[in-house]
Amino acid sequence: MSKTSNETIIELKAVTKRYGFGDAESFALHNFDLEVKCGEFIIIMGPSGCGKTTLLNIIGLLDKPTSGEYLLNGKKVDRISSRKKARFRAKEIGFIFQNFNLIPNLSVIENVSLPLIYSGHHKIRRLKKADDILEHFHLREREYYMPHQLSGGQQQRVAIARSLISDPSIILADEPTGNLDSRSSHIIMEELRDIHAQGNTIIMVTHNPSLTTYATRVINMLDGEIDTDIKTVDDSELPHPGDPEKISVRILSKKQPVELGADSNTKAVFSGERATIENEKLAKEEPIEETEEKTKQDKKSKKKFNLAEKKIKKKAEKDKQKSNTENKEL
Amino acid sequence: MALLLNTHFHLAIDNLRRNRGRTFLSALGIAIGVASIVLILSLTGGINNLISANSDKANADLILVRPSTGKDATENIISELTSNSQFVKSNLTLEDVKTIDKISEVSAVAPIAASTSAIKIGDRTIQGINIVATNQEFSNVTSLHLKNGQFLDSSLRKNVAVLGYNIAIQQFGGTEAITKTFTYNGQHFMVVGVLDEVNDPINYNGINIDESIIIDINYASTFESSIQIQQIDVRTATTDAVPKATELIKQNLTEAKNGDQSFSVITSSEDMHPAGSLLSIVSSMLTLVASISLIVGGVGIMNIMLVSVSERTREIGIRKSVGASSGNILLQFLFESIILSVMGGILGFALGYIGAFIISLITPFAPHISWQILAITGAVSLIVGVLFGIYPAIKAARKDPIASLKFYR
Repeated sequence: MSKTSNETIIELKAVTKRYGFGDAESFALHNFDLEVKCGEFIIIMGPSGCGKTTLLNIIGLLDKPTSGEYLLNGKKVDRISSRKKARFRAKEIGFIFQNFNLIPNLSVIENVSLPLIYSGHHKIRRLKKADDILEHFHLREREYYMPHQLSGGQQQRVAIARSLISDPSIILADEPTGNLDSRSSHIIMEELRDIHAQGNTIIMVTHNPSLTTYATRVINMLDGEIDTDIKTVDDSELPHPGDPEKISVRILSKKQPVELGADSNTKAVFSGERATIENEKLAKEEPIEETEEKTKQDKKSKKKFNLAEKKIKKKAEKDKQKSNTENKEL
Repeated sequence: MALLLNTHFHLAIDNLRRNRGRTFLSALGIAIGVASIVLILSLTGGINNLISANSDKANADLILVRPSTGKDATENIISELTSNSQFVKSNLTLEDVKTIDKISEVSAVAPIAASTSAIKIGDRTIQGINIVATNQEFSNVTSLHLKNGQFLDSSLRKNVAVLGYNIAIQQFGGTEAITKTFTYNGQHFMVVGVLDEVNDPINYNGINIDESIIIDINYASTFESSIQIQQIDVRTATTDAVPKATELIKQNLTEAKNGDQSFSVITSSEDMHPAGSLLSIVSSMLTLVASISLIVGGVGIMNIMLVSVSERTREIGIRKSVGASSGNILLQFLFESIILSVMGGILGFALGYIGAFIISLITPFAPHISWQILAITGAVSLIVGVLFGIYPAIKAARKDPIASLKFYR
């Protein structure tokens, strides 16, 4: 596996989710194709009812598609037993919800350690790991608070800590900032950016267009289909697990202007070398002050958040198909 | 797997601890049911102990032969209870006594032919005296002690009698009644002995020795045309010989009676008391009634678990989304109901124990709490927990995670 290529982590092939029959038939997803590479930070946007949440639920194995194929880490998972799905959820997938979804009568540390129960860890090990991860989120002194004693932003940080605790391959966030004020939203997005910088793959649904600055790829959905799919960072430049020097590259996309719909095509559509060049330009224009510091900090916590390479299959795949998903006409 | 079970156990404990009041109340339902069962079982056990207290140890080597209609055991108990056994036509004979006596494992055989009739002392006629016709081995079989004089003996004349303690005092003017005479059935009898007080009105012979006059059965059969032997008491040389002796008695008697099996051979000490078998029927009835309260308690647990499932719908959704399988959720809720029920069982056992102790303060018998009662309550509360917990647990496990996550209370 070469350092510059990122593996495909999620592959959806002609996934369809249908609700109702006959006259009442409607499609939440219709022949949906998606390929997600390791290290991508995808933001999915679109009007309500266009199938964003259904997509997340299907990727998160909470829902099953009516038809189509779903490969997670190269394994076909659309028709596996619900027990195996639960195991995948426990080990490979982290959920972040709009309304945090912490269990109200469990303390913060118990909430964070929840996924480890189902991947079979001893209590001491669970709490130790949760403690480590909460320290990173500066919530250590809140460990034994109950969720209702925390602010919304803190609760969401707890939820993020929970989604990360079992080193998942992918983090699914369903409007994580939807219930938060702009300041808390900003903090949460910074956290997600950090997580992404450490090589985690994130798929996030949001209604807030300003947040797309954080993404490496923005997908607009309409009526269960992809409307536009824009990559703002070349696949080879994606942050790589255990590869902290890539981080500076990732940050290039931060101030990238974002437009929706047809306008975005002109500015945001680019491919291959051009993207790199443009990104470099951006980097020169807007140097990020905290990059150095961040890198140091990230190196420290690298071990904790290192998306273990062993999890990823040795099947290296050069992404030649990139342009297919990149440049979809309206 | 063991780790997962352990985790679920702790999860359940934690959750029950958070809802202390509710936990206590729903466990109380089970506790009351279990307590009443413990109380009933321990009290009937205590009464049973009282009945057989004197004789239990001595009766390990005792075998009883009783006339029977040859029907099955339960019908026998009922006929025994409903009809006065003295009016049952007995087909045991003195020949049978001899047959049993020939078996080498048998050390002593005593037939009992009890009847109630009038005796005459001087010119005084006394009605309703228990006359027990038996042989000289009766005192060995039943281990009677003499106050005065001697028991029946083959070296003596035939028309002698031994008095029970109360009869001697009430009708013969004291325990010094030897050589006094009376008339029974037109025959003269002389008193040769007075028994010590037995004070055991309920015993396996079904007669109150203190209120009886004992005469020789061989002599009685000469002036009584058809003597009714209600029971033959058999003692074996050793306790170990009981099963073999029982077999031989059955075999030899059937042979001697030309295949007629209208008798029953009883060895278990509880069954020897007619009162004991009545008691066991009554106690099982009471236990049945008490188990209704246990079912009520179980329904209470089911109810509370259903409430808990519906108000924790969201938690179920969250747990499923972070990787809990349906099996995990099922186990979590099942453990909760089992723990509730077993806690109720323990509480009920303690309550029943205390209740039995309080009752023992005002009644003459001590409650008897055996390991069987402990095992029964343990098993019953476990079964109730599983039985009434499985439905809410399945309901919880089947919840759709997406719908559960959208659930707001």
